[in-house]
Amino acid sequence: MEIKELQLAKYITTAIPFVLIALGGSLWPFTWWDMYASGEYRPSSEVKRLELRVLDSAGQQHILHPMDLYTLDDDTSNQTPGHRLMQTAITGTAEQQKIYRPYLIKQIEFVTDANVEQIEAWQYVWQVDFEQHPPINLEQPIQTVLIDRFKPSPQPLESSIR
Amino acid sequence: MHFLKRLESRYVRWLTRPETNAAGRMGLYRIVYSIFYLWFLSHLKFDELRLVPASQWKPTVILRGLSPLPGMSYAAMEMLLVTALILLLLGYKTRIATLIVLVVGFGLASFRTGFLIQERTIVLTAFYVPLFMLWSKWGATYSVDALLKQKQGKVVVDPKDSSWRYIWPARGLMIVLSILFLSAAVVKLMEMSWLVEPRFVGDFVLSKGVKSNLTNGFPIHPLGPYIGQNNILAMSAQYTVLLFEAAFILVLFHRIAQAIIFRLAPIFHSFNTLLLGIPFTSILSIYAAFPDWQNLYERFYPPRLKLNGLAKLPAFSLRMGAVSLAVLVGLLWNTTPIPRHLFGLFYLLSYQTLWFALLPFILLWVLSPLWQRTNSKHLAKREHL
Repeated sequence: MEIKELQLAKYITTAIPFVLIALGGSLWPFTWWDMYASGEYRPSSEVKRLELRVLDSAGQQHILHPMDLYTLDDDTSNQTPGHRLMQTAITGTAEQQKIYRPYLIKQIEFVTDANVEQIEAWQYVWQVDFEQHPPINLEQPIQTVLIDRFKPSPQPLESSIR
Repeated sequence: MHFLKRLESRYVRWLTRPETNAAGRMGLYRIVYSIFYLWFLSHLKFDELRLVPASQWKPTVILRGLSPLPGMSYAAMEMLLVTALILLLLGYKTRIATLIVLVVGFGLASFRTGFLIQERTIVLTAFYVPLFMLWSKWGATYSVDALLKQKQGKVVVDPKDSSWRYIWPARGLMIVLSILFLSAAVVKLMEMSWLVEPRFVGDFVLSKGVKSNLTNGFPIHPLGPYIGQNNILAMSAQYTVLLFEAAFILVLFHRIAQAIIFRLAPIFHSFNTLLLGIPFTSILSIYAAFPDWQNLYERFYPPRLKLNGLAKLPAFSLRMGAVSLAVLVGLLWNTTPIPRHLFGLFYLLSYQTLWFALLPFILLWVLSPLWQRTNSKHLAKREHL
């Protein structure tokens, strides 16, 4: 019995690490920790962010940023899915907007638990100055631009992509 | 051949080394892990996956060829996972519960990876821990399974049992964690930037701090820009990180190295959270496999809170109680906010703040050898007198 248990312990504790090493970190979930190993991190003097001002059917306003759209556990992330959906639905081509706006609206309704009446998409730009604290003052953007204002259309989610 | 034999025998000696309170600490680790996983899940909504455009579906190799699941499947899987986690917490049908936690939790992580981003952090909690614990005996103590065994007149496991049979899966986790840390150092060395670009970490601290503030809502701590702009501090941080990640593997080889590195690790993560907005909270589910919870339980758990009455309940009530509670919490998870609030600790702690809540306890633990030494010197002096 003890020998069998020992064999199992040996097998499990060597096989899993072996797979992790042998695959070279290329196959999820046996991935290595290669985050931030390289890349261009030179700090920029200006940063931007999209903001959605959502008016719901009860007349209440909600402010949403890309990070509010999905509950990512990976809070170290760049919130890529939220950014991607906002960017494509707001600043994409006419065809992309037609396809992705209904998804954006559904996602907003899921997050806010309210019916969307109108959406305003704003772009905020801030100056970054590391000589002062905090380096960006979120209350004082240097530029605020209304990109678009739209209402949900009765159009269903595209069957071609769903 | 002779070398391989010697290597194997040293490995077996390491793997089968007895560990104080092995049975008790693993039983308590099961409880800590379940509570942590439920807290972790309380911040997530897997139901959101049904709203992601199917064009974003880029499954990993494991799910290749599969279509996204229909409608409410993700919410249903989430409820099943929560039910299994409650069973695991209570220690009823522990091995089956562990299997469900592994399959369903990993399944959900795989779908999130296919739809949203490659989940590199959640795999620690959802994949590696249950994968090793599936083979463990973490249900042998502090569990309904143990109580039922006792009622059947079978021999029950003493929490103070130090046999390697209870602790080896935690050692397996230690190997995986060491390899992952080593991989972080190896990739950094291969990419060279961390070695040859003196401003790499300085720039990284400055830009990541701002990005984490804008993207994830982490506040910028004044220490970040200060370190980022100071070349000496930034370079020191650069090589300290490399050294820490490369040296982590020493936990496998030396007890003193293990004691030092495990004490430094929470401080390392707290600084990453504070300066960069990189909390990596799910790593706590692996770290939790290493402390002697039995010792902590004996020293600090209030006797009044011990559930001694459970042993007096009939076996049927124990079984029914465990299953009913698990199913109830599972069903309520996505239908009312109560379980999420409860296991989310009323959202008092987030991924951003958890390390800071733990830090005072960690600092006490880091400093504990100092006063233990002072105490023993004091005692020795008194005995001498």
